[in-house]
Amino acid sequence: MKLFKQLTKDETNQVETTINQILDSDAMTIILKRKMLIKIKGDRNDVYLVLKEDISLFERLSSKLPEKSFSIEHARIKLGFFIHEKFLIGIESLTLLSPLTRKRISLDTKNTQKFIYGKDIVINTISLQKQIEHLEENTTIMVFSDNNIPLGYAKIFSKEKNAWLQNLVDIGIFLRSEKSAF
Amino acid sequence: MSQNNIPMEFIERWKSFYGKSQTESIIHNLRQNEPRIIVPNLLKTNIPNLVLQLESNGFKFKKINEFNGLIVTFEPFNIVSTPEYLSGMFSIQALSSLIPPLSLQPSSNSIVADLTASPGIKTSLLAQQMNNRGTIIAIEKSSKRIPALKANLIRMGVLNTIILNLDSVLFPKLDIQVDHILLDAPCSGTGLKLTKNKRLRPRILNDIFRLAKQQEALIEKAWEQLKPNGTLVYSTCSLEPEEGEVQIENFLELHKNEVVLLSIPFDIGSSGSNTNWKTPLNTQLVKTKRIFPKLGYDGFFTAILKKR
Ligand SMILES: C[S@@+](CC[C@H](N)C(=O)[O-])C[C@H]1O[C@@H](n2cnc3c(N)ncnc32)[C@H](O)[C@@H]1O
Repeated sequence: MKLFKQLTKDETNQVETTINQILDSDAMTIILKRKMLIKIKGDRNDVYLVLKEDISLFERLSSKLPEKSFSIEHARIKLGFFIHEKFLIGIESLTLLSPLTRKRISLDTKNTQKFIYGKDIVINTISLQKQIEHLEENTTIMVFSDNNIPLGYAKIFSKEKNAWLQNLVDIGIFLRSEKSAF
Repeated sequence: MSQNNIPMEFIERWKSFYGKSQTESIIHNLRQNEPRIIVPNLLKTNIPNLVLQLESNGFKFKKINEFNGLIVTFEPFNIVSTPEYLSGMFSIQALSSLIPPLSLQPSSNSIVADLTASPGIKTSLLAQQMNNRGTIIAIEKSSKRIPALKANLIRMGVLNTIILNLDSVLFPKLDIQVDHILLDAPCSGTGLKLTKNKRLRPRILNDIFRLAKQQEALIEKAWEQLKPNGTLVYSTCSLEPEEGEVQIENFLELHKNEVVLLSIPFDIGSSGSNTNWKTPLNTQLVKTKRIFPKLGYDGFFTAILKKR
């Protein structure tokens, strides 16, 4: 693989659709009009949102430096990664996307602590229920604290009468695995 | 050797550079336990908001006048497990770390190179000044130190940075000219408070000469890539003039007609020209800063070099 490569049309569509769905808007479509998606060399197929001008910098890098002497480790905004050709949202996207989302749930202090310890959240109060009752099962939503701090992403699940938020990724990862996750 | 023991070799050197009473103050301050100091991340919050949120969880603070710093005076539980920390609303750092990036003053359309970036405390401060716009090329040679750099920049919400794992002496090979360069060079670290410095041993003296050579090579390579009128901030957390004043003295000598020093825009520390060296130092060094350790500050040296 080259140092970086532009996402294919299918991959781009997948990222765009996944993120638009999470946000419940077409914000990602608008963003992609001015920016582009690339993967950089690495075994996780990480997806980065870069400026069109960045491409010439990366091309210069590949042409001027011997490949063994360096690597690109990160490029502006990481959105997530592909696993088995499926795009998964990453915690790195939170800063960019949290002001844009309309699909969200706020947790009280106790549930906030639980969530940032990597735990799932049981929907066991009316206030939690109300916030997600209009959403379907399997929807990915953004999770916030009650003072509006973005905490991560979760998926809504239910079985018989019980519903819960499955923790997909949360900011506690910076504490739990600073060395291994990035 | 107990942690509080400072080898005589250093004490004698510091006396010769800074005089007896300043050296006593250095020794006293290097031995102090440093309280936790937090600095708000202006990309995400401001002081009143941050204080309000953390105080409602039982934390208590004392304000430091300089640089928006807050000393944590009461910590009901570890502050790094709060959503405020994990979402990058503040960083934990010595105030001395703010001086180099704030001296560089990049703007929101600058192209900036941070040549020795990990763990990224200063990179994140650059991004804050740039309002997350423009471009930062953050370079780090040690692959082991890359994950911490990435994690910090992501947590702090930095969106304008490209991270390269590269030896910065190869920087000119990239063939790009930049507006600003931060060179927070690898150094002996003799200015660090003893609680975070495991290395203050006599043999570190031998390293000073070797490190000074590396620093010299890095400034030279950096300089080649700086645009005319661009600025380079050079800094080290060392109390040794070979890694500070003398490094800049030598650079001025070699590049006489290409460089002017700019004053550090903060009323803090002493001027680098007050340091006693074997030969009189260039008068321009009055514009550099020699910072001695004190509450919130490590021992430090900073200079701003502008390319004509
Ligand atoms: C003093 S620390 C930088 C601290 C950083 N600026 C911050 O504020 O968080 C120096 C860093 O430079 C890296 N380094 C040393 N020599 C280097 C070189 N030749 N090229 C790039 N990085 C280098 C070291 O691995 C170390 O991480």
